[in-house]
Amino acid sequence: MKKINSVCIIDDDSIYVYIVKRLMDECNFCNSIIEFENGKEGIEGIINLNATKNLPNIIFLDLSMPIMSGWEFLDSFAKATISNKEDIKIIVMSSSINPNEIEMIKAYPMVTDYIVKPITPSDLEKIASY
Amino acid sequence: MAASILSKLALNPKLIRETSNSVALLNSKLEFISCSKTWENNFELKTNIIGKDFFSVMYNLPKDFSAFLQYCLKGNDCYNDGKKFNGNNNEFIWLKWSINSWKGINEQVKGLIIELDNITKDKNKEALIKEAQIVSRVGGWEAYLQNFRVTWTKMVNIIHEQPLDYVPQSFEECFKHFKEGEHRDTVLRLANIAITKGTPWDTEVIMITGKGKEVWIRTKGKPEFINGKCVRLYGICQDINDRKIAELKYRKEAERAKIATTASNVGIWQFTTKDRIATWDAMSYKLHHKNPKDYKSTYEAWESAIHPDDFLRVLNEAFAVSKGEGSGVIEYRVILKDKSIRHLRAVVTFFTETEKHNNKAIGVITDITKEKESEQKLKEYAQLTGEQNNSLTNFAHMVSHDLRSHATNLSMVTGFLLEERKDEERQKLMAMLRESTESLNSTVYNLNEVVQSNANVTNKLEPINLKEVIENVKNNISATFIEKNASCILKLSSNSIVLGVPAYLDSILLNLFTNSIKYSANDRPPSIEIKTTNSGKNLILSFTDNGKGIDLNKFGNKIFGMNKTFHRNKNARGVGLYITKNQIEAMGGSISVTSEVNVGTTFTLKFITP
Repeated sequence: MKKINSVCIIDDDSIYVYIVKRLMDECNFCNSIIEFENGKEGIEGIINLNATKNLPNIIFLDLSMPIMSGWEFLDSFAKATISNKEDIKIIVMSSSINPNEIEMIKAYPMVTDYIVKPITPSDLEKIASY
Repeated sequence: MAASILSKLALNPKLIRETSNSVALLNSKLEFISCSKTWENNFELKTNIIGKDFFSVMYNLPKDFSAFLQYCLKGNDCYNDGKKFNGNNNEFIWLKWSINSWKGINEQVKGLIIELDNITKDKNKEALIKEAQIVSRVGGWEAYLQNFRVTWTKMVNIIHEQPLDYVPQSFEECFKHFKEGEHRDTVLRLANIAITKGTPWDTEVIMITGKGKEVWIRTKGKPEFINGKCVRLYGICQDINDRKIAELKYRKEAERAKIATTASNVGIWQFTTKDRIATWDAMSYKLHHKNPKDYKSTYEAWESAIHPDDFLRVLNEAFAVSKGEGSGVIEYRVILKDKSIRHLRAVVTFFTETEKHNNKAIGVITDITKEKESEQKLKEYAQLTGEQNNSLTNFAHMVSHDLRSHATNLSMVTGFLLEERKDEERQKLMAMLRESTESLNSTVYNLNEVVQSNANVTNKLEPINLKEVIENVKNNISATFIEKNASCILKLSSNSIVLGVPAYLDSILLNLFTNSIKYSANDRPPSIEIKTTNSGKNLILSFTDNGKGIDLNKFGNKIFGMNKTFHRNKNARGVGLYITKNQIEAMGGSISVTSEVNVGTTFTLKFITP
C-alpha cells in the first residue's frame, strides 16, 4: 500500500477519531494526522495550512457536527482560495445511510468518496489507491 | 264593352276618341281610323297614327296576334279574357281583347273595332300571389251570412286534404273540420265574437283533414258589416303544422331543461362582451345570493357578489377563454350576506356572432362549496400526512444515524479492548466504552422524549401557575446561573395561570434557559427577560436573551425541525427546540422566534388559559 504523507480528520466524535487514528496507525496509512473538531475549525485550519504550504493529501470529513456541519464545510472549502485545491481528496464519513443524503453528497464534485462509518482497513487500502 | 255599343261607336270616330276604354278603329287594310286617348296612353303612342298600319304602330305586339285580326276580318267576332303570348323580346306578354268586325250595308267587312289591354303586369302579380300562397300554404275563404254561401281557394282544400272542388254547403260545415273540443270551441267562439262585436281573430288550432290527419293551422278572420249587421266573414287559412310541431317540441324541451336546471340548482347566464350586458336566470341570482331588484344591471350584481380577491383573476381568465385559451371553467368565491363564502364554478363557452361582431359568452353556474370544502380538508389531511410522514422518515434516519454512531463506537472500542495488552491504553479504552454507553443512554432518553411529545394530551391539561414553574426551573439550574454570572428579570402579568402538562412546562422552560446560557455571547454575561401578557383566551410569554442570536435567514424554519442530530449534547439545540415545539403544540399553544445575530433571541410562546 502506498503511504500517504498527511491526512486531516474533521469530526466532533472524539471516540470515533481515536478509532480512525488507531486503524490508520495499524495499517501504516500515513505519516501525519491533523484533527479538527468541527467544520469551522476545519476550514480555518485548512486555510492556515495553505499559508504554510502544509496542506493534507486527504481530508476525512464527518457530516453531522455542531457549529459548522460537513455540508457547510464543503461550501466554505469550495469558496476558499487554496492552492492546488483539486489535488486534495475529500472522503466523507457518516453514520447516515439515508439515500437522499448519500445522493446529495455524491453530487459534490470535490468529494472523492462516501464511506458509511465505521471505516475499515480495506476502505483505507482503497482510498490509498485513489 | 258590349259588341253592339262598339258597333255603334264605330260610326263615330270622335266618340271613340273620348271613350275611357282602350279602343281602336281599323279599316279592312288594318290601318288606324281612330283610337281612344286611353289606347294612346296604354301603348305609349306619341305620334299621329291615323292612316298608319296597325302592326307598324303596334310593333311590340306579338306577331301571333295578327291571326286573330285576320280571323275577324272574315266577319267573325273574337273575345279573350287573357292569353299568354311569346313576346318579341323573349318575354311573355298577356293580352286581353275583344274584336268586332264592322260591316257595310252588304255585310262586307269594312273594318275592326278592337278593345285591347296589355295585362302582363297584373297577370305576373297574380302569378306571384298564387306562388306565394302555394309556398306559404295560405288559402283564402269567405262566407256570406245571409245565404250561407261559402267559397274558398284550392289551397284551403289542399290543406284540408279535401277534393279540390269541395266547398262546404253550410255555415256549420265550415267548423266541423276543426278538431272537436277545445279547438273547435275556440274558433266557434272567435267567429261568434266577430259576428256580434266586429272583432277580428287570429289564432292557431288543430284541424282534422279529409284523410283524418291532425294538422296545425293558423286561422285569421275578419267580419264585414253593412248597416250594423255582419254580412260576410273572410280570412285566410294557413298550414303551420311543421313550424308548430317544431315549436311545441322546442317548448317541451325548454320546459324539461328548465325543470332539470331548477332541480339541479344550476344557474344559466349569458354575457356579451361588447356592451358588457349580462343576463342571469333566477337560479343564478339565487346562487350569488342577490336580489335582481337591488341592482341596475346583472353585471353590477355580479361585481358586488364576487370576492374582491377573485375579481381581476376571473376577468383575466374570462379574457383568456374568449381568445380560445384555458379550459373554460372558472371558479370564484362570492360573499354571502352572513359573510360566509360560497364557491361557484362557471362553465363558459364563447361564440362570435359574426354579423354583429359581438362576442357572446354563455354558461352554467353551480355551487361547489361542498366540493371545495372537502377538497380543502383533503388537502389539509394530505399535507398533515405528508408532514407526519416526512417527520417520521427524518426521525427514522436520525434514530438510525445516532444508534449506528454509538453501535459503531461500542463495537470498535470493544474490539480494540480485546486485543489491547497495554494497561494504560486499556484504561483509556474503558473510559471510551463508558462514555459511549452513556451517550447511547442519553440518546435513547431523548428519543423517548420525542416520542412522548408527539402524544395527544389535550384532555389531560390542568391549570398551572407559570410563575411557579419558571422559578422552580431557575432554582434547579442556579449553579449554572452563578457560574456564568447570568441574570434573569421576570415581568409577569398578575394572572399567569395556563392550561398545560406540568412535565412539559418544566421541560420547555428548562430547554429555553439552558439554550440561552449555552449560546450566550462571549463578551457579556447572559441576561434573560421573561414577560407575560394576557390576550383573550391566551397567555403570551416572551423569553428574550442577549446571546449570540441565530441567523434566521440561514436556518429559518429549520430551528424547530429535526434537522440537527442529538446524539451529542454539545449540539442539543435543534432537537431540544423540536421537542419544545411538539410539547407546546400538544398543549394547544404555539411557539415562534425572532433573533438578531450577536444581539439576542426572543422566543414567543402562546398558551391556553383556563
